[in-house]
Amino acid sequence: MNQVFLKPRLVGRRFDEHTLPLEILTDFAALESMLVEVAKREFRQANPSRARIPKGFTKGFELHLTAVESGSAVPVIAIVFPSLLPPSAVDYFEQARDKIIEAIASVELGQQPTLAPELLRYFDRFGRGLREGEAIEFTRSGGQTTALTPAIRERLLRASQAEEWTEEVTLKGRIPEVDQADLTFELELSDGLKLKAPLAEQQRETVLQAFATYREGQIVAVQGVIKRDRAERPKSFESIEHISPLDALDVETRLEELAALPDGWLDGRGKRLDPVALRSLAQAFDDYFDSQLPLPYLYPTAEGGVQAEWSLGDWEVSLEIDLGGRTALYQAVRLSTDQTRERTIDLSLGQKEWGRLNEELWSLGGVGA
Amino acid sequence: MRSETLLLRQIHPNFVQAGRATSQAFRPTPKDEQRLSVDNGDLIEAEAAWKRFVSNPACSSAGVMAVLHGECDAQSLAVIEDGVPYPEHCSIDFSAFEKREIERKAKHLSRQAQGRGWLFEASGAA
Repeated sequence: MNQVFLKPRLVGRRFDEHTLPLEILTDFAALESMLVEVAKREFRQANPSRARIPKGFTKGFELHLTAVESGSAVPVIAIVFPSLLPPSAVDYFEQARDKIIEAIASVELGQQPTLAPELLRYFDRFGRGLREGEAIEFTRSGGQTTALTPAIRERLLRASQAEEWTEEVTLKGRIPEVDQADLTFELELSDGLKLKAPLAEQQRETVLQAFATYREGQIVAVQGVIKRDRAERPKSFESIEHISPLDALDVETRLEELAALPDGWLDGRGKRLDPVALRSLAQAFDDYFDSQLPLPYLYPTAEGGVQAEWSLGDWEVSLEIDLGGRTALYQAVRLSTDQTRERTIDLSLGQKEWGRLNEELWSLGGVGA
Repeated sequence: MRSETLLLRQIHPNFVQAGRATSQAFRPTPKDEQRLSVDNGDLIEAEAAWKRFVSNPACSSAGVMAVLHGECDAQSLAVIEDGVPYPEHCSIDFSAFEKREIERKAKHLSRQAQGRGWLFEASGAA
């Protein structure tokens, strides 16, 4: 038999197809561990005379994912048990579920969480897989909803009095040091901070190659779990999922660099570039720029824009992008004849206009000099 | 100056990616009054020009590239030996041209300078 136990609603771009990415399931496995501990606490409070939790407190039933409903994605989590009636311990699990949901709601409402600090530490793993803009919504016993977001999770963890907690991140940097005896390496971030990381056998070759090309500026993207302290400083990598060497002209990485330029970056002149517009431009490049074409060199302009440039055989090409209006001036000059092609491209129009840029570049040969 | 005289140009570090300088480095920015500052390579070496430039704390340079006087002539760009603020200083005059024409000429100068490579590169430059 089974009975529905929890139907949270997952909101965010990754859940728009009414499906669940597999990696988010680890968060629900963490929720199950949290439920067990909170249920034990509920049992002790209800039975103060009992010295210990009954043996087999959690035996006789399990939490299962039975379906994923639409809206964006609603996983249906049921309690599954072999008997006709659910075991009595299920009551404590239901109380635990409500307590966890109320803890989230209390923080969302700006109040102190209602769970003990040591139980709040389970939010280190539950909610860790959420990205910016994503949320897990729960229905409270009174019918209102409350949402676990990355920001709410952080507030819950701060309330847990933990000195540090973990986060899933992708960080970019260079590898200046590898310790093959200790099976560790260091990732050096652009601000000079070095994070120690475990060296796994399956990532060894990639790490050693990046280490060997450190002086040439080889950048890698490292996806994994970091420890972060209460001051939000990254301390070290706890585990690593993937390491990917990046192209020297990787667009996203370069635009992140440009986003860090301060006002006056050109010897006192040079307007700061809008970081939000740069992220949007990076996404547009990812979505619409033909991956078969050579990547552009990207530079800031004194007016706070971006200039993309290509050297394609006999052609020198520039695309001067106004980040505010997302219009771009395209100019291609054939150096041997001075033939010039110019046009204005409205990059805000998406696929169609980016397609024109792709066509223009292909028409010049599309191959780097 | 001779047609082969190198005109030394300081390249701002933010105008360099993966060792390549932007063509913007070879045209004046809007506040430069249409003149591009260079040094007369017949009178000063690239490294010395770089050292003098960065001795001003307000000025950054990843290194020095150069175009030939003759390459400016080919683009109808006058080179003025103004000698201000120091004797080796020259200006490449873009004032007779509109924005798109300036960008076109800068592309020619940039490619010629890139082909010549860095005459001096500060250690640790991008």
